[in-house]
Amino acid sequence: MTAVIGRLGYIRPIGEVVFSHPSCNPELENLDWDWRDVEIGDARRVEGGGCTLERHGFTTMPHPTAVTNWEGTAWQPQFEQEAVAMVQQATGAAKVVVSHYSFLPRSTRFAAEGGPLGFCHNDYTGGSAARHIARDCPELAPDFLKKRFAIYNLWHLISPPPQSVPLALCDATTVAIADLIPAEARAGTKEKPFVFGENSMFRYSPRHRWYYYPDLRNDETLVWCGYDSDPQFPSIVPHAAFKDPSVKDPKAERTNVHGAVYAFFD
Amino acid sequence: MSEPVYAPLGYVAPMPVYPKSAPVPSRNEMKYDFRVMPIHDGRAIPGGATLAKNGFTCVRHPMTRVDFDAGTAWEQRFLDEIVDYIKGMTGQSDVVANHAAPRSTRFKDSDGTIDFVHNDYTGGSIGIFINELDPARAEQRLAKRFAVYNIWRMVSQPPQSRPIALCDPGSIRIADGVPSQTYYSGERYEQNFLLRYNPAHRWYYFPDMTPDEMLIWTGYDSDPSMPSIVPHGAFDNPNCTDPNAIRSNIDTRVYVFFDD
Repeated sequence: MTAVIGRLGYIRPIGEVVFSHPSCNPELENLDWDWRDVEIGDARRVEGGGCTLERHGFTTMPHPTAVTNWEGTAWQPQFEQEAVAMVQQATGAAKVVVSHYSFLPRSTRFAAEGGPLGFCHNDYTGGSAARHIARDCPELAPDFLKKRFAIYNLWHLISPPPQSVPLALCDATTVAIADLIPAEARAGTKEKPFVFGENSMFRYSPRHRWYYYPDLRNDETLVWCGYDSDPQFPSIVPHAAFKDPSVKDPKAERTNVHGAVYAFFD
Repeated sequence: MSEPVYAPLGYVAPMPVYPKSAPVPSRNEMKYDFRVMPIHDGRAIPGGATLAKNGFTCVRHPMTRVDFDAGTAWEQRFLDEIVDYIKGMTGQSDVVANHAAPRSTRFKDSDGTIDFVHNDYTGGSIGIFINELDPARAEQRLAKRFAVYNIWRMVSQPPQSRPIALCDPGSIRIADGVPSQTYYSGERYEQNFLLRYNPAHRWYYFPDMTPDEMLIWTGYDSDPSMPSIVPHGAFDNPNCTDPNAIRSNIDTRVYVFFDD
């Protein structure tokens, strides 16, 4: 299997509550970085037809979007409609709802806020996933808690390949419970921060197996499981952006839209 | 391998709010999801249970007799005996045990047996506990390998009506862990892990423990090659038919800061 070596942002436990910020501004975070060079394999070449939601917690789905103009926010309703239908069909969920923070662009062209996130994280913990859904979908709470629910993160490239800063994803079954560091997800300013969720950060372990999708195309969407209440599915997939050393043009842009959907099963 | 016992264990159900788990019923705000699970005999694990392989072990280590009804004079000697043992076991010298909690089925409320499955630490709170031991040394201690071992010793004789079940950390899916705020004292809460039900979990207990034995499990180890975070909870022992059986034990935690 082909693999590249990428540098990933792990952290270490510290003497206070850990918090991160989507700007990656060190003044707004207290992360004790532990950068590691790790092998990142080609997810498409994994035996059995590439990585799957059932075995690793992530996959790609065909998604030839009808959106042609990604300026502004006019593309959102069309893209969301497609995302909901795609996830519903792929997972068999009875109902799929777009999460409150979806969908937003992220790009290597953007500085700070909206740039690639270098820390290994998952947007949820085993506790916060249900709280996010309960907050965004009060009309479904608390009944949704009685049946299977899941959160899928979606990642769709709008710049052409290659990507200088792709996304690495970790096979969730290679992560131990002690590798997970629950952390506050903060937004706002240094003076006035607010906590909008609890996410999972990770310490280094040589057992983690990392993958990425080289040359992700514009007619497919990368999907990983942020949380699944069904214990037979791997979830809480750690992910982080990394510089792909095999991409010759170091300025090759990576612009994508990303977001999450909530899936409810009968 | 002997037959497992089957008993309900106190998992947590999905909740729309942050759970609070407390041995004090009035402060406990978690939704239970009791599940009957097979609990296997830890003594029958081939080759014996070890910290390196299983995250828990049961060793022979006679202690000086403790009488809960004779004040608290036993505490320092009890901790000293354990610290000596852990120093020998790990070959380390920076070993700290700061508190011993007596528990008994005879006690009501906060010192009774704890039925919610939990691990005392998460990767997020372990550093906070180490900082509290000695803020001046915390940064240096966190920079190298550190571990905390939970110690569990019987004061009463077998059989035990409410033994403790331990979950093999290798059988836990990361999404099974639910960070919770657990009550300490005053208004203080710290983060621990509760556990969502997963049929893949493998549970163990050590039947008929005696005061000459010591159960050790790894609450946290910063070395990722060592299994750690061992969720545990008390259960009603269906094999214990003696109506007068009790369970009195001492529960403590030992921090080890490795030199290498």
